Amino acid sequence: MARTRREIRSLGDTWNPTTLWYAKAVAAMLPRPIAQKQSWRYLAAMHNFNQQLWAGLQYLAPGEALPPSSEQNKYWRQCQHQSWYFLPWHRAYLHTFEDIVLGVIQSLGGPADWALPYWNYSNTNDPNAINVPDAFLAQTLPDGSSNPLNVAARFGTSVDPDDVELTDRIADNDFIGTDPDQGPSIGVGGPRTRFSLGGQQEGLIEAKPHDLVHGDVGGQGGLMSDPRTAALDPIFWLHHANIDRLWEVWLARDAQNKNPTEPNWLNGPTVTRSFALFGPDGNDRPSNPRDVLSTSALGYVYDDISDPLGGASRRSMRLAALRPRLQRLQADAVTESRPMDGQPPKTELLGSNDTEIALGASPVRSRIRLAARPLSTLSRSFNRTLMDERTPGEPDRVFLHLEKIRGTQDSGVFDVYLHGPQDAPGTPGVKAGSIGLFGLTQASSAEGDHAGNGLNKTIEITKAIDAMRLDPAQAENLDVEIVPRSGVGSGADIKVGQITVHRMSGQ
Amino acid sequence: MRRAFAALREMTLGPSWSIAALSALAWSLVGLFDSALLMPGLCSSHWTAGTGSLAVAIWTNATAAQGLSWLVMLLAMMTPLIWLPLAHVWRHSLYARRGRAVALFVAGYFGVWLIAMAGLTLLVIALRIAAGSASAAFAVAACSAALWQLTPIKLASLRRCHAAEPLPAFGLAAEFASLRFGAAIGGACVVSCWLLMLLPLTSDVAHIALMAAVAAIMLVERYAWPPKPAFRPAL
Repeated sequence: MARTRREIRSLGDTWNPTTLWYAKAVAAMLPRPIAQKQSWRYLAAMHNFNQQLWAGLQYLAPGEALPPSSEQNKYWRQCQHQSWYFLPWHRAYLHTFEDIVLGVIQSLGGPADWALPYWNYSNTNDPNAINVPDAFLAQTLPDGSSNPLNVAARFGTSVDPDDVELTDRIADNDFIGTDPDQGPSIGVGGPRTRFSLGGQQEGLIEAKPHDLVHGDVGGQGGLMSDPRTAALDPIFWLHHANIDRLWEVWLARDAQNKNPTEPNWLNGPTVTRSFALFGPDGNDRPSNPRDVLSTSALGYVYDDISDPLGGASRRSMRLAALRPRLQRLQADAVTESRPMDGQPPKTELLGSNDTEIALGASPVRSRIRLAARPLSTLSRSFNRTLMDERTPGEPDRVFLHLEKIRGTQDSGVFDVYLHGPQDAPGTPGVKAGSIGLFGLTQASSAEGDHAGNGLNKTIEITKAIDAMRLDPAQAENLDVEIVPRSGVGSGADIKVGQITVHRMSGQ
Repeated sequence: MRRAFAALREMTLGPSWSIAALSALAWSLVGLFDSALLMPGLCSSHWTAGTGSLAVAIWTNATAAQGLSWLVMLLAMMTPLIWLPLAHVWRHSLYARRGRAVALFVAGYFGVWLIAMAGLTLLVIALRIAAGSASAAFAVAACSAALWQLTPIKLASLRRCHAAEPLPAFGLAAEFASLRFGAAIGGACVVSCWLLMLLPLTSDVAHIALMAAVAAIMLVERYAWPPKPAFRPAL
């Protein structure tokens, strides 16, 4: 009988039995030696580990014995990011974690059907959903003892509603994204990679809500803001249980949504490293994607994988929003005889800025120059045929890429706004999206896996462009404003190498 | 190695098939003409020590045919290595100038390599004269290449081969950037691989086999991720 992972607030009071047993297990696991596989810190180090950071945060005592390097190389620093392994590896990781916590709870006299709760911050029916659950903020447990769920290095108490909005996260049908040089990545799961502690392009769910929740909850210097410390915070596991649930939600919401069937995905990475996860007894167990496709086979199900979008497709939602424009076009009886200059490419560069920009504690603006020809192609795609739900296709989609983002801190969430050419100074602009810097330090290291190329962030700005109605006769420029929201220190040395805009044919 | 095979497969079967086709064409030219194309004049083994013979060697080889032979050799060996930077240039260029941007990148990349080949040729001649025989020169080159694989400079330059530079989209800045990016990747490639390239250049025999072996090493190294030399013991 599969155990049921439930939303933490649906479990009842702050200290409902499920949450209280979790807190007791954390308290029991925290003091265990870091070299012990069933210890809190060993499990956190399997995500990622940095001796200096951990020591600075008091999670590692001077001279404390670590596992031998051969063991570290096998089990530690495995977290898969910017990768098509992001979802399955974290599922296997949570499975190991949950089994060990369950064992601890049972040894403390707790229930055998305990399951890890999840935090559904995207629940729009509950205005409280965006707040960090109370149990993670309380100073003490009901018995007056210190609450291990409330860690000192967590500086956010809520997430921004826009950061957990799912409309543009689970509405696409592809699991696999594309490599950075093959066009906009719109895969829910991430691009093809080998073993990937971090890459350049990420899947839709990983970018948001995953990255942004990490940044919102961690804040500047918080455990959750950096992959090397994130799993030390007990809230990490509830966050990732929700990410894992969203994978199930995506699969269930549309029959077109399928997991990859390529052997390279199913069998996991085999080059440089493979996944190494274990059961509650510490013995290795198969944990490649093919081994974790069914949650019930792993012993758990979610209480709710209903579709928050009510079954609506991305295209239908977009075309519904464009309906007034279509009606105006029909009422004005505008002819559509403007011929295209040959067949436009499927994807192409629409424009870019011309200089590197520095992000910090103050907002920065950068001007994107748009090229006339692709802008005209984009404009012409807003025609009667493509805006009509009864005919195939849709107007072109548009993507903003912030490329070669480098820096020395992982904290920080930035909001990205677009300003049209006619916008008066001081107007707020149209919010295009947000980016989180989770994993930036590692990505920026010239000696690291990214060869110093940093992170790439893609924001689909189709909705904003739909709202702005760029006129190719006047729109030679588009201003991008990047506004720091949280967790950005004044000394943060964060640079964005280039901002580009691409159009993708909707036909 | 698996990653290099995957890259080759994707290159051959995907939209970038022309890159693989160009390389294949160059390999077939190398196969057809072998040493005459590869190193005309250098393949004779009667060079003796002395500045006079060095001058003769330079003179004999400083021809357009020599430059062409280098280019064919480089096209065969290097083209598959620049697939990803070419894709970067392609994607970061406006549709109307994609072809020009790629041409400028290629000019920058192979321009740097051709200059390097001129230097390597002089080095090979000097090495042969100093070593006294082709086999001794080859042995020196092989030992040097093996040692070079262990140096931090090798690893750093290999990483620089993966640099994805910002590329302006408009005006002269875009043209210069394409050329500069090609030259930068070419420069990193030269620093990473110059000693490996000495192997087919110093040997009198088995040119094509040595070229193929060196090309394979470079391919494996280039598509390894994180970037690391193909043959480097754990230090």
